[in-house]
Amino acid sequence: MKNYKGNMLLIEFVIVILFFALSQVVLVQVFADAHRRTVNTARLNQALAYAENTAEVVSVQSPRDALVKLGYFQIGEEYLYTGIDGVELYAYLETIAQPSGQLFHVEIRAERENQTLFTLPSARYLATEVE
Amino acid sequence: MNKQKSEYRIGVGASSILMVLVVLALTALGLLSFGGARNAETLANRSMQMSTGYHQAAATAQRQLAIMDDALQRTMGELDVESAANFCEEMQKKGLVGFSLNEEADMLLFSFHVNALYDRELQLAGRILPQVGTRYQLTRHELVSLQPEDDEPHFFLMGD
Repeated sequence: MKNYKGNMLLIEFVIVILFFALSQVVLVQVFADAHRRTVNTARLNQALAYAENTAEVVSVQSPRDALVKLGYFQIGEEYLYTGIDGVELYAYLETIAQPSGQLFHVEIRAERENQTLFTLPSARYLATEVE
Repeated sequence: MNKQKSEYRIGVGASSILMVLVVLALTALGLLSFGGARNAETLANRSMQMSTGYHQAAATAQRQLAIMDDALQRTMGELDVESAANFCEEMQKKGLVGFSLNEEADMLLFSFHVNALYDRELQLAGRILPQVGTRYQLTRHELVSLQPEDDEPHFFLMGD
């Protein structure tokens, strides 16, 4: 009887540990997914805040000077900011001249792992004064 | 003489109950964490979309101001009440939604709006200057919600 009870206890322990291990496989994935989403959300918020700040500054100052002051560095035709972990901000400048003035257009693009998260445009029109 | 017999201190089933309780607690914790993270992600995405909508509207507004200014320059200060209707029609054809010109105190006032998504509108207004300095002066650049105000009572936890 004692041996039978001992054996039953041992079998129960084995089954409990097995079920616990199986449940933990699922739960660890849930926790990991929650952690991944939290980290990505924090990075997205940070990137959005910096992109909004860039759009506002560029709309009132000379775009090239503003981007350099904000920590962007030029790569080819674009400007790149890498101060946010896991997210890259690209700024593309375009100037359209017309007889009545100049339109400065900046497109700020956030990318994570070569995927575009969002695109934030900013434009500023400077009219030439009447002579 | 008789040896004290050892007794099993842990009953059969106790470990199973403990395992069930622990797994339930961890599951609840995991679900709460996942739910919280998903809500935060949804909020961040919504915030991003609303911010993007506003900035797109603001950039579009600047482009449309450039279009309007180009047309004003071509009129060479000959814009008056009679030609205002034609000017409005020309602006609306070029994409300035709701463009209107009104005369007030011998001045021509313009206004138009740009859709900023999520029932919001960027409303711009200003006055056209008779060829002095720049050809127009912007007096209003406002993001307005188009959602009707509800009459339901609001309960505030703190303050007014």
